[in-house]
Amino acid sequence: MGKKICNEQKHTMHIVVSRILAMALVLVMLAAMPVFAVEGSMGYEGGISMPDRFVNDTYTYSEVVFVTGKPILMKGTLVIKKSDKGDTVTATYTYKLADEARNATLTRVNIYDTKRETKANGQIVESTKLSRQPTEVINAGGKVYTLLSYDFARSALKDPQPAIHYTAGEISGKKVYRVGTGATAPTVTIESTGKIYAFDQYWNSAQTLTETLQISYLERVGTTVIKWGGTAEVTLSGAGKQRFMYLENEPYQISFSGGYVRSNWNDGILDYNAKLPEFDKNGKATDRLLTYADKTLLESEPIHNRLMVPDLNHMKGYFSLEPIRILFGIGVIAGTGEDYNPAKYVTRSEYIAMVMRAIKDIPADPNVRTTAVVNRNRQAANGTSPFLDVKEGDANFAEIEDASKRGIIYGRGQAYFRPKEYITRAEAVTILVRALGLGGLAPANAVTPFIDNDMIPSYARNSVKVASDIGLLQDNQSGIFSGRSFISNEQTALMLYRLIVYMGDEIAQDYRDRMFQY
Amino acid sequence: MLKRLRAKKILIYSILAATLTAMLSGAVVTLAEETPERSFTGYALALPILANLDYTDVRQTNTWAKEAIWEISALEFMKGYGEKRFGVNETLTVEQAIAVAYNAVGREADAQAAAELLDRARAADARLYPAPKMWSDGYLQLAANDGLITQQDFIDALQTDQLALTGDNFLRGASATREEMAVFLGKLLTLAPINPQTRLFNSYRDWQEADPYNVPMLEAILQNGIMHGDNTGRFRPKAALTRAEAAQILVNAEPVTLPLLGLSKFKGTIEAITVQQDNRNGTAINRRKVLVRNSNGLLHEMNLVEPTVSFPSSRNELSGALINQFESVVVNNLGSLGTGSLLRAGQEISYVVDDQNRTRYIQVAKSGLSTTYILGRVISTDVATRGLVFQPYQTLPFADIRYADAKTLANIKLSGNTSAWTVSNGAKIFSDFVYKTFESIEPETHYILTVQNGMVTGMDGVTVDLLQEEGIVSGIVQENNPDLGYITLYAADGSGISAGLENGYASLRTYPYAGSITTTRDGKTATPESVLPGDSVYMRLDDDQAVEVISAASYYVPVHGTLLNRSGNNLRIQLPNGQVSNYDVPIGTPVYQSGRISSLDKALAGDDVKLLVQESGGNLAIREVNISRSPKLVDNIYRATFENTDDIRNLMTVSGVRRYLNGAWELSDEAGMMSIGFADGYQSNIDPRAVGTVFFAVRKDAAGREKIIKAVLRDDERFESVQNDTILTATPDGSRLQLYGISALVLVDEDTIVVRDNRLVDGSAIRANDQAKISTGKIGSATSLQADVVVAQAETGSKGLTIYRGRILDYVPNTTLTVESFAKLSGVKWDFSNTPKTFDIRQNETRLLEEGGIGNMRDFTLAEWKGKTVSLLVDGSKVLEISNAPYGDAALTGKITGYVGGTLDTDGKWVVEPSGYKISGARTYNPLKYTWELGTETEITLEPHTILLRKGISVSASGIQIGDQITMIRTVGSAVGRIIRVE
Repeated sequence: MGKKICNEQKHTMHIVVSRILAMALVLVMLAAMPVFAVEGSMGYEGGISMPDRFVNDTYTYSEVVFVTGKPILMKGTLVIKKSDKGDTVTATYTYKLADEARNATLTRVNIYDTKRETKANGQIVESTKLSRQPTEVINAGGKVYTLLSYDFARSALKDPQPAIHYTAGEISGKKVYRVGTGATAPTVTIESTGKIYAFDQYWNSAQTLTETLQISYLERVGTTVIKWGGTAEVTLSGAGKQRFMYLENEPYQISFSGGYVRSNWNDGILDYNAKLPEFDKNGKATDRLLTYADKTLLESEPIHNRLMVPDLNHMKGYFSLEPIRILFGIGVIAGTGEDYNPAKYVTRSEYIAMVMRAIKDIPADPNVRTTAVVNRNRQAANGTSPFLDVKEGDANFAEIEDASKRGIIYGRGQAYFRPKEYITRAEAVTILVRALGLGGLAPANAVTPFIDNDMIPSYARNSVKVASDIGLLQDNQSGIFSGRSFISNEQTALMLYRLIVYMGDEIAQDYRDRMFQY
Repeated sequence: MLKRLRAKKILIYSILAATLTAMLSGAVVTLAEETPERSFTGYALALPILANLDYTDVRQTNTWAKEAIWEISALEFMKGYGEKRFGVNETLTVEQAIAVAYNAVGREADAQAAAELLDRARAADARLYPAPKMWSDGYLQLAANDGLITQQDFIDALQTDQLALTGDNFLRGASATREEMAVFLGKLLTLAPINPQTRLFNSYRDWQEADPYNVPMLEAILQNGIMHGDNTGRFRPKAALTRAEAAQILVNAEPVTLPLLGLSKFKGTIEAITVQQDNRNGTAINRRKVLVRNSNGLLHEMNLVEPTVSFPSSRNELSGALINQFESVVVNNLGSLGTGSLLRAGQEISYVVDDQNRTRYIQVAKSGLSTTYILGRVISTDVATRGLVFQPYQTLPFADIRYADAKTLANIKLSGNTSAWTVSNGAKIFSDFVYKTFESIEPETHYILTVQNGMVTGMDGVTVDLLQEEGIVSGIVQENNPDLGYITLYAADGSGISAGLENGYASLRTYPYAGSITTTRDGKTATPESVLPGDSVYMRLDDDQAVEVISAASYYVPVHGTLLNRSGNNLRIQLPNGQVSNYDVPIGTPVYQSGRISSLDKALAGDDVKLLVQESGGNLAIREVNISRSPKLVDNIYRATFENTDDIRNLMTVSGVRRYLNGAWELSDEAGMMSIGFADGYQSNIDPRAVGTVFFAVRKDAAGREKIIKAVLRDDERFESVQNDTILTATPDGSRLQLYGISALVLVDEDTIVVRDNRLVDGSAIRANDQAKISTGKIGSATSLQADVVVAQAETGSKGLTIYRGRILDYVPNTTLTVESFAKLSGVKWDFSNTPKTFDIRQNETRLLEEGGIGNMRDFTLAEWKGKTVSLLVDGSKVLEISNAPYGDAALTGKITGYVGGTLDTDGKWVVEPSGYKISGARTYNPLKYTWELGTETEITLEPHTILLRKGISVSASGIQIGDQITMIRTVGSAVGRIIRVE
């Protein structure tokens, strides 16, 4: 119960820390950073985007336009500029799109104000409105569609968990276009509701928008009313992907035997399914409904990064050499490998250091322009250790301190962290699940599927259940969890490798592939 | 077991109260070893005393005074007669009574000194012998000095001829009365006589028998609890005092007498005994350390030194052998006498020590440790005395809150009754899984006391909100049995699956159903049957602890996978991690596709499915099945000469590409080399340097690019053939196929590309009677064929669409269309029927095709259309298309090789639909000869009202694909298609 009260404090502290750390990390990780897209980088107009690698704030963008009654896939650019004034973010979205083959163009400028409010538990509630009259002109099928009015509302909840920031939100909007000119010109009204899901973290980020559109056309010719209507379901998703591949060396006389390459790339998928009337040869709507379904994809070129080759000569042929090599390569396991003993038990301090290097820091929104002021006094204040038995200058001090501030560890009570004690499997899993913030997936008093469920410390059952559900414990085939056993270097490596695969790939499936599938 | 429970419980609480703030499992806080408050040795005379007091007339009888006799003997207040006889029922003479009284207050030495003084005054021959006789005089002298007897009495007493004395004289040899003893003791103990007659003494029926002058002292004796009278309400003041009575009186007087003797008596419980055998002095002795938790909560220590051989020692004390000084203690262990070896941990004892810190006597009051656990609330604590005032709620069988009776707690009424305890200095006090000091215990906190032999030796803080509304229990359902009417939850912390001890709890977590139960599950009204294992439930219990209300929340977890096989309601699913699981979907489980209700029949092998599954213990419940909205279809299958693979860009380069079309390897669009990417998640195991023919299946990604979803490399040196046949039998795993057409077995291995109903599957999905086009290779003289590609189609009884032609007779808007007579297209011929026929018109589905393009059914009127001849594309009786295309009865077949007209955008999507096709292998039907003849046509044209059908589905012009074998109905000699269809 005390947790919630102090969370706010924890969170604000975290922001300070992360900014400072971020600077250090950027230097080290710049090369390894995937192309990054945060929630909102697709906009809220039903399109997908991919960051331009050469121009800041600019995205390659694709959107399906239904205003004519036939879906038109328009492609072009989206420029996003954001300014962060603390509790309000003002964002300008400028679209320039075209479908040259169908002679269609679109220009649009939307300016949004997003108000943020941080709640006691660290969650951030956002609400977005249009701050100025938006402009939009579509040329398609020889007609000009001019935006007359636009009501838009977005609300979102961001939950900044230690390793992953989760977002869920919804948008609704009503757009009215005038077709052609004149006071009696026909109108097309598009009403939309959408759901947003997103997560941000170091290894990957994903955002999904599922939108339902109602398109209705209204024309008055004298006293005659001409109407038609249709619906569309649009699913948009953007996510990063990663792949580790092993490349063997061709020359024989080379100091290392081969190495891993990590590839990252992003893709965005747009999938729509629309039911619209068929138009007759005169352009008049018939009663027959046509179903349009298509998808399109934007993909970035992969970025390859060679990983360091650790000296694991003494482990040739070892069971889990591959994950251990990769973890060394991406710096999760510190050192260069020659003294790595896979069977050695891991201390609490070593474990935290590895976890923190595995989850890394959550990158900041690339579109936001803020003049970050790093207060040197604050830096000094950071030196205070959260635990009585962890002193500045101790091994892994920075990681332990960071983990404590991000709420991943609380120590073993009475302000003692016990860094030199061996960590148990139950503790290890609890820490991972807490970092992911996914404890809520299972009931607090969950029953785990392991044979030795009753022997698992009760505080860890929820975490073990969650970890088992999301596949972090996949390597455990025996059905026995043995929560009170110590955990070896090798088992730690397997678990953290699963964590990175999970964070880098699997979690995104829930936000991407599976959104299209069902 | 206790320890384990406690450790567990501490953890439980932390979860229950959501106060887990520490990684705790191994939290061990070590306390410094407790320093004993006092330390005692044994008593060097213990063994001789023990030898003396083992009275035969006490040991062998059941006298009630046994304890008292041993105690006062051990403390040397009274002595026996020697020869191990105490003389239990003998009476005491007055002089003996006086001696006993003096000894009891520690004035034996004074008496001896007085006696020696008297004796020395006597003539040598008159001196008294043996010593006790002489000492008696000393006691009498003291008694006279102290006013116990008068001077006259003393003179009488010293009369050498006692027989001369009469009843009026003081007779030292007369039996002492109880009244006399009371007076002697009272005076010696300097009790203040209580003069105004208070209640006690005159409540005895025989109080008037007592000497009135003695009554105040008797009252004092009674009030100090030294004497009590008999059980008939008589004090019997004039009755003779027996030695047994005297012994008990002395014990009763101990609170007053012991301090006079420099002795102290304690009560306590033995916590631990350690024995060290000491062999250092050439003999073996035991150094026995006894740790006693004193009733004040502090620790006392006794260091006893004992012979290792059984008592009495066989060593001869006169032999000059080295003798250790044994310092033991007289122990009365519930009626048997002995030394420290009788002591055991857990015994509740009273013990007497002297002012030289020697242990003089130990009496065991209870042999075993009696432990009770009391749940309650701290009212106050007193740090100085380690006192605790506590309001007990209930006793528990173990120090475990799970045993608490929630109902009693809920209904607790504050009666004001409290209990006071002493808390052991070594008590384990926990709260919130950390040790606490006694000082830090706060009032109004809840604890479970561990009370051992009347002392609090453990306190376990209860951090749950104990006092709350009654009758609500919660947990996760382990078993719900509506038939027998009970529901069992897991323990509150999620444990409870182990056999053994934990299972024993199940009865504590089982609740019977009440007569009627209100149930909600996931916020909806439900039946008790719908509550499944794994649900989180809250239950309201009635007065009989039966379940009245259940509110359940499900915990379904999505399971994603690819359907390998479906037989009936059993789904065999490959999970993303490669494992294969079987799920039996209960009848009635909703099945959805694209968010709409569907059925399991729609799930074909190769489809992705998502199940919502609740797994708990051995139970598995499936809430719903979702079938992938768009099946992952195989778009093409190729064969080519393998060139290489590129790991970095994750693609494969091949040459000489051919496409598998309708059971034939046709040339593809690509000439020369072709590079094609691997799909995400597909790992090819083809060696980049391999040589051979590669077969691969592709699927288009969202950008329309073909990606390899499965590839297999085969040796070039084979005899290849394609079998277009029906499967006769297939083994369950699909590894061996028997075909109708050929006798050779077809072997399917895990590399074979198997496609069924356009989905990539494994061999197990192949069924007998499937239509299959199998590309095979045969090595050398092998008798069986190795399958490279199997494309199977389930046997379908597709009715397809029908094309009619007729003259319009009647039209009811949006309802029906009637023709006067009609012709039905059968193959390439029209079958004429001279009867009217009525078709259904559907507002959403019926489409009008006219010369200029699509017409509008809203403008379709009988007036305009009556008498006109139209072609109708009909599904059953439902009209899909009405076309006014002119009549055609000439047939043409051919293979589409390309499109004519139309425009594509950069993504390869049609902006303007094609206006015709290029064809090859044209043949025309000669209705006269009933034969197909070679045609010369290389191009055919479409009109807006051409009816286009592909595999039973109405398509647009671009829906007809290159490679399709078409049948076209046209007007003789025209290249314009009226009806084009692909089967």
